[in-house]
Amino acid sequence: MNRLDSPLGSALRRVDWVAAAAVGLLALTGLGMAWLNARSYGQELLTPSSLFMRSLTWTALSLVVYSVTTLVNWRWVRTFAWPLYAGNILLLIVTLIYGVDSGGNNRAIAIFGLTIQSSELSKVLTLVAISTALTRVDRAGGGLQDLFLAGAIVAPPFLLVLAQPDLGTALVLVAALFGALYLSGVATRWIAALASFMAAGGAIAWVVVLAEYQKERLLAFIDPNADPAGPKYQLLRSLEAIVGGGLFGAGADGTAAITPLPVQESDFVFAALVRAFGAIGGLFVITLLAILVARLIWHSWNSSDEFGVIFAGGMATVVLFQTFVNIGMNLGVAPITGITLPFVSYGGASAVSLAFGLALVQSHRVHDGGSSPLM
Amino acid sequence: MTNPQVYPGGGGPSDREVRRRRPLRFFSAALIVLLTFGGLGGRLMLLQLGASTSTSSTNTVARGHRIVEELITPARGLVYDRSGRVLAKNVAVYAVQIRPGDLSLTIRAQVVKTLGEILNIDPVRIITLLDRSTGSLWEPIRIANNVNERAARLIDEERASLPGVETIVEARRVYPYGTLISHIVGYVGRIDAVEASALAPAGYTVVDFIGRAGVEASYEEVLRGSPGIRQVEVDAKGRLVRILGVTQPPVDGSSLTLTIDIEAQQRATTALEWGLKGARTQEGVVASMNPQNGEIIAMASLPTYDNNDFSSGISNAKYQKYLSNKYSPLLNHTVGSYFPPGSTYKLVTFSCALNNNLVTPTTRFQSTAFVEVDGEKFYEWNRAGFGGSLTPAEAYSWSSNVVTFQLARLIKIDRLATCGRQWGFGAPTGIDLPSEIAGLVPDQTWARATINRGLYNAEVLQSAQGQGYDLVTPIQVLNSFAALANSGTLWRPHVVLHVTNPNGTITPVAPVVNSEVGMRESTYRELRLAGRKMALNPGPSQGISRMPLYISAKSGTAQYGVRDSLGRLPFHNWMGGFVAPSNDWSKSDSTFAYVVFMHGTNTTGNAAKEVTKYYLQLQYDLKRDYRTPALLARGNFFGE
Repeated sequence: MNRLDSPLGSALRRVDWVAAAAVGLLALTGLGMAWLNARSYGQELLTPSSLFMRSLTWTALSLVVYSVTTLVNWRWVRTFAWPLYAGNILLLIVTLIYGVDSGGNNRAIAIFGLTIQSSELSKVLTLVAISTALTRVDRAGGGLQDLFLAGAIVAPPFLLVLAQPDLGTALVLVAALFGALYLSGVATRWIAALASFMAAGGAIAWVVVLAEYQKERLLAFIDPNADPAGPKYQLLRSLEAIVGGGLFGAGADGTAAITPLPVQESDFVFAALVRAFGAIGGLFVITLLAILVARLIWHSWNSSDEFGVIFAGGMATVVLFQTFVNIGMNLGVAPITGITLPFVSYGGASAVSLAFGLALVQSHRVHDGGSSPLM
Repeated sequence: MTNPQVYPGGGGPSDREVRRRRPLRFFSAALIVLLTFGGLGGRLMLLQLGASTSTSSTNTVARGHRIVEELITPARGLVYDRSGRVLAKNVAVYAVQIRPGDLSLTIRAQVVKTLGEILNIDPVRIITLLDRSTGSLWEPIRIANNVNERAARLIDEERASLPGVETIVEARRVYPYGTLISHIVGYVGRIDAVEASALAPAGYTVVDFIGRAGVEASYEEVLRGSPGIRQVEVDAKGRLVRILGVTQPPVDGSSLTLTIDIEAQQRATTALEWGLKGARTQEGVVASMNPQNGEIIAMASLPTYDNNDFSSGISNAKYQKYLSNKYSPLLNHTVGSYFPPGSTYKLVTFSCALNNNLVTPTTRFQSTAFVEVDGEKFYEWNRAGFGGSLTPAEAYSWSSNVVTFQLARLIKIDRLATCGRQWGFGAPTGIDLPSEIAGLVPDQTWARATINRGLYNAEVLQSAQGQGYDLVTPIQVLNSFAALANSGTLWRPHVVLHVTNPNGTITPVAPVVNSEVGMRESTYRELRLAGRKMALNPGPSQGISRMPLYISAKSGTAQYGVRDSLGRLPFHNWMGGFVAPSNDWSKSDSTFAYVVFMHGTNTTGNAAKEVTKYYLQLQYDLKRDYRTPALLARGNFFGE
């Protein structure tokens, strides 16, 4: 099956350059924000521990992952979908036992000195597993069977991530599940039934299972600083920054001297961006993300096989959901849950995982219809 | 490894038909995407538009600036002595705090390192302080107190690289007279994290101080005032640009003026220090009050402590040193410790017998070497008797145990207990100082409930002479002799004379009568005379008789603890009484009652009598020295 003789050029012609450009520009924006944040925290920019240098390392790694995954035939993930899924579950269990608090609510484990937030990777690998399971030819298709299968695949990582406790990523997993089910054609009534079932389960867990202190923790997690030193301090400071940014922002130099916002490198990166580059900067990022999601849906629509339909649709849901919750909480229309803004927030594993997932969609496009330039 | 049999799409026929069956879903997906991004962009633009068209009040705040509400800490009221000397005042000091929410975790280590270098603190300690705090992320955590001005300026200049770090100027409490009057003035301490939540409704935060002892604690609400709120505009760095307005003005705390004059306090302390040094012991009390209104004139309790140690943040080593001292320097023994009263309690026994008509002032008792109760011999304190027969007053002046025993057998325990409570024993006096305790007046009800039996006859005799289960505080003894002097009024003693609010309005602390002893005037007069007889009795008065003052007195020796190798018990010494303005003992116009308590003296003479003589000669400015230092030698004589 070695087709190393296939021309690289034909592969590069098939790459979705619009999506790739959007990802590249988002990553550059993220790097720019890391530079700005490092300055506003008063860090030495070029020391290895500075926010900027660490972000540069992760961005470079993401670029490598994105390029390699795009060029390598995507079918290996389908082949190894189950070992990868099992490995991810194992990693989540290990994280739960040995993981350390990585500052937010999600936990990380250090492997060879590399801090890995396993919950980030689980988004992509769970989607791979769902897409693989739902595309078997012997399935009835679109029925209740699909729903149970996909639900059973999502449940273990969902519970393990929730236990970290990383409610944000757990919610992304649920969003991805619904996106995948919806585009794969499962009857709307069954999806509605699943949604009702999960809502009821959540309500029962809230009333029966959870102790008062757990609820408090959960509530504190949804809105970690509800009424801390004045009502919704984080949100107020975020809104101040957004309003203060005006149309064109205070500029990089103008914001460098300003007191940093709460967690402006991840949760409130959007507010920091608007403060520096104004509404124009904010609309620029929103537009890039909109283009990225649109291209993913377009690819889902155009995909020649069901794997592509479901996986690309799922990835579109992931990006859409993260964007909505993150920017939404900066703008005061969504609860504060600690979900990162794709590529713009600082978050090493988050960027690499997303790059991997998006590159799988690229690979699916490049290696569609059996014409794989590599492998 | 692909298998086209199982997975369609790997070169096999595509299943576009499947997808084509759901264009509606893709259409709605596209719609959701459009609405989401359109909504976010729209919300962003609306925020901007809303800001630019909103009222001028927002526009007056420059870009990047914001308006915040700040608490205005009211100035804490001062404490003055009776003559207007300042006993507690406020001075300005710098402090450094961190608001963890403004200090990102990613740069924390670096900021803490820089701050540690400026303040010369181990960075690990700062990290520990930050991690240990349980409060909100936006509540400041105190890093250093009493920071010098140079370091404070340096931190302000380095502000850009020290996000979340703030310097503040705050008032620190300073006590110019320190140890001399610390038990009365007390001290303030910072609120800890545990208390903060309980005190939050009252407007306290973790950076506030609260009174911990003395009048700083008992008059906390008066001294503190109420905090105000102001709106200030701060720039992007959080620096104050201007004050926009005061939403709610603060009300400064009111000041206190004590009934105690620092010079009177010094006299009591000097006398007590001299006596303790001579007797080679450390714990004692000298206190005096005005029997006409309950005002405390002086109150010295030794050992003492420096309240300035606490207001500036006490070191653990120093605090442990205070705690490990077995004489409890942090405790005001006048109100916070109880001891057996010894023969000072004969005031209760003798007045009880007279007032209940069990004896008359002329009844005579045989002064024998001992009395026998239930086959056991109870000896006179001199083991001999005082020759012939004694009237109650004569017996009181000799502090005769044998006569007291005979009275006790007539009174019986429950009536004795009633009389004890009439004189104010067994209940707190309600003095305006914290941590007062009640003491104990034993009766049959108490005995059955506590030791599961009735009191034996021998124990009744013990109780009548202030031993056994009897426990009293020095302030109770003082109050009982003040009531004797004023013919039966038990005032609620008080150390605060008046409260001055910030406008200068003076509100006097009105004297409060706790209760009346409720005995006959003739009983009071007889006991005042008996006390005078004691003061004039050449032997027991130990030289007080020579003093040119109209002193009425009752001494006491109270045994406690464990017998030594010679079978002797260690003992405390007491002296209580009052000074009358004239030799007319039917009058109740004394303005000076006193108590002296000397813990574990075991001296040849009664150490409390020596201290009393010295205290009175200082207080009344007598030229002659009436002291007999030799009587402070170790001796362990038989107790009165």
